[in-house]
Amino acid sequence: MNGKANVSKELNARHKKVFFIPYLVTFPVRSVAERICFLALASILEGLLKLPENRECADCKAKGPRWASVNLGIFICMQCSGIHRSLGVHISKVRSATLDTWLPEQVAFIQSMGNEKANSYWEAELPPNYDRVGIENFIRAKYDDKRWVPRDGKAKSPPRRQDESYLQRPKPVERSKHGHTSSSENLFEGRRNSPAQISKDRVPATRISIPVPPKGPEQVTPPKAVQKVEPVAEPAEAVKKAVDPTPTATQPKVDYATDLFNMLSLEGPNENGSEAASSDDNGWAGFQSAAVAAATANGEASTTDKADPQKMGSNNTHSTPVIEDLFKDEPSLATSSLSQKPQKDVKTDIMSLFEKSNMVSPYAMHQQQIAMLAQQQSLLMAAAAKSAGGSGSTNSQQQLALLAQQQSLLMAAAAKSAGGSGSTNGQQPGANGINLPAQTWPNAGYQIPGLMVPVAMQSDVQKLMQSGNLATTTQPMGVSAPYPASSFYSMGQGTPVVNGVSTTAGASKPQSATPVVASSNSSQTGKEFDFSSLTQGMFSKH
Amino acid sequence: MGILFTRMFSSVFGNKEARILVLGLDNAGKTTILYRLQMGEVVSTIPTIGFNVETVQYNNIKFQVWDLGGQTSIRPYWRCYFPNTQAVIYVVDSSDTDRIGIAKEEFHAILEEEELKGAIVLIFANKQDLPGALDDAAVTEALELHKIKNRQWSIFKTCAVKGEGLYEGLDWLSNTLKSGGS
Repeated sequence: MNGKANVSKELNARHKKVFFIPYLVTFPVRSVAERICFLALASILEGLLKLPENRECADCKAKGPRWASVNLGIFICMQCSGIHRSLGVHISKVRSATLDTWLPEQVAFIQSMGNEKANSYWEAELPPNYDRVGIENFIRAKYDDKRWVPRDGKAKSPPRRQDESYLQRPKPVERSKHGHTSSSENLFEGRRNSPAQISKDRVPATRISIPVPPKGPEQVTPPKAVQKVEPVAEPAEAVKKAVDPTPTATQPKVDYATDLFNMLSLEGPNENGSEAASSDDNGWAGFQSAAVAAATANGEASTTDKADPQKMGSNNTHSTPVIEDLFKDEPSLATSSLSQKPQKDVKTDIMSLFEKSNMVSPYAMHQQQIAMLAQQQSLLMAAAAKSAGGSGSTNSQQQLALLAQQQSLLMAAAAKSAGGSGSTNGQQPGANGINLPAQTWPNAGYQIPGLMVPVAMQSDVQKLMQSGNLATTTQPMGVSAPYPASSFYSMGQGTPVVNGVSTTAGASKPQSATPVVASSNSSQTGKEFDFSSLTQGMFSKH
Repeated sequence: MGILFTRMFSSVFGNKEARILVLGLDNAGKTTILYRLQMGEVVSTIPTIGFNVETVQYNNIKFQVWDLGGQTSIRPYWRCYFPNTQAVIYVVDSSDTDRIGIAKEEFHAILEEEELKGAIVLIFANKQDLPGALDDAAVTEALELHKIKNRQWSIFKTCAVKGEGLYEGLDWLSNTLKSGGS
């Protein structure tokens, strides 16, 4: 038993690490690209759920809401979601943050809204100590009767109700140079604050700090990075590429960072990421969710190699165009024309997406970059090392970083004065000042939420399925239990439970001998993915 | 053996049993319909993650009604409940016009299922009380019900919270099951 448990644990770890396919497969999204979109959106959602304002139900303040009203832009608990559903979709459209697929527009909207902003409108006139007993009445009064919305016209920007807008296609693209990104991007960009814009313009300057493949032990990657630069003219991507302003010069850097991530493969959430958002270095920086921002940066840089079939086999060196694609393609997804994307590319993207999800630590990357830099720019380093003191404060670091982006002369000077600031990572003190450009930092920080999410969600599903398999009566999500005759099991267990549960004897026969839903699924439908083995692994782990 | 005997006995004396699946997108009103039929009252529900199953006796038929959760990610598990199903009640939120297309796709995917080949289909155009609700003709159009071949089907306008239309649907169901169907 022990041995078995170990094996399955290992198996599980591997699945988590590589693809977390069980989770993926659970969702009835049809094309690979759709699945990618779904995953990316899910990770954004997961990130949003972690925001303090969204950690409690917008209506009853219960902790840890997992449901949402996509048109009100709020996160709510399951109980309140039931009430919202009873209001009708003209008032509230309820979706599960974990069990439903969302449209990018919906995610974008809830990202821009959130519980706090929404309540500042819906509860503007709400008495401070209002007793929320009888939550159903409260919710009806709040959203249906609009009892507490601002009355006097000083309304704080009434939340836009996205009632019909889901199906609408994107608004015109603002900047021609980002034309390829189409509307979805704009949705996100709309929320960007000006710093992001500025930083975008700064991009070229930032590149100064891009390390040439280093001479250090981290050197594994350079050859592959070089390989990436080869431009491939792929019809499907042609338009996008044509307008893609990102210089190929960025590629080495991004890939490099990716590799470092992979090598270190540290997993640790970094809350700093969101703060650093505004200073992200490229046009995609608008996403407030970490995963997207970071991954997108990578994705954009490597647009050109998407069509390269060789890449499919290559492992970690692949950066993730995926998320970028997500937003680029989303419009077409909604119009159900995703298939235009060559399959192989998509696959490649998937690979990289998942690989990406395993590498996390922004700190690590940062440190490594610093190390590289140090090795490379020995002159600078030497100069920096000379200066003993220096402030460890981030402030000065950032200032220095800015300086560093200008010219090498300035850079050198900055490094000198920043000398001691390396305290953050205790590594290569001299280089720190130089390599702290606002650009690397956000890139790193952003990664986390997205990464943590899939795993967490997978474990949810896992839990669900496990409980189903065991045929325990406790359902993770807790279903409406008020009716004694009804039984609640996770769907995962499928037929086996049927018999045990059914309230009338003999009416139902065992439909299938397979206890594991997954396997019966795959055999019945012949779907393209075979996840039976994976689920088996999951089931046996307990 | 005893079960078999009971079945034979009841079938001889007209007390048939039928296994019914209630399917539809999330928030279509499946659970509300189930408990409206079973208890005769409107219960407040929460999203069904999993299923509810109840027995409803009507017109000498004992309906074993399975109400399955409709969230996107658990729809694939519907198929686990398909075998030996005599009828499918497909519930549509008539006011959710944004998702009527998705409802159509899911519906036709169900019809494709081999295990449901013999099942008759009853469509409930639910939530007729809500503003902007499509009527039965519009839902018929939107779901492309005219494409259904080799299967008995019917559609009813319903309002589960008011209890309208549900028993008309069950009447059709029981009559159809008694006459032709299993």
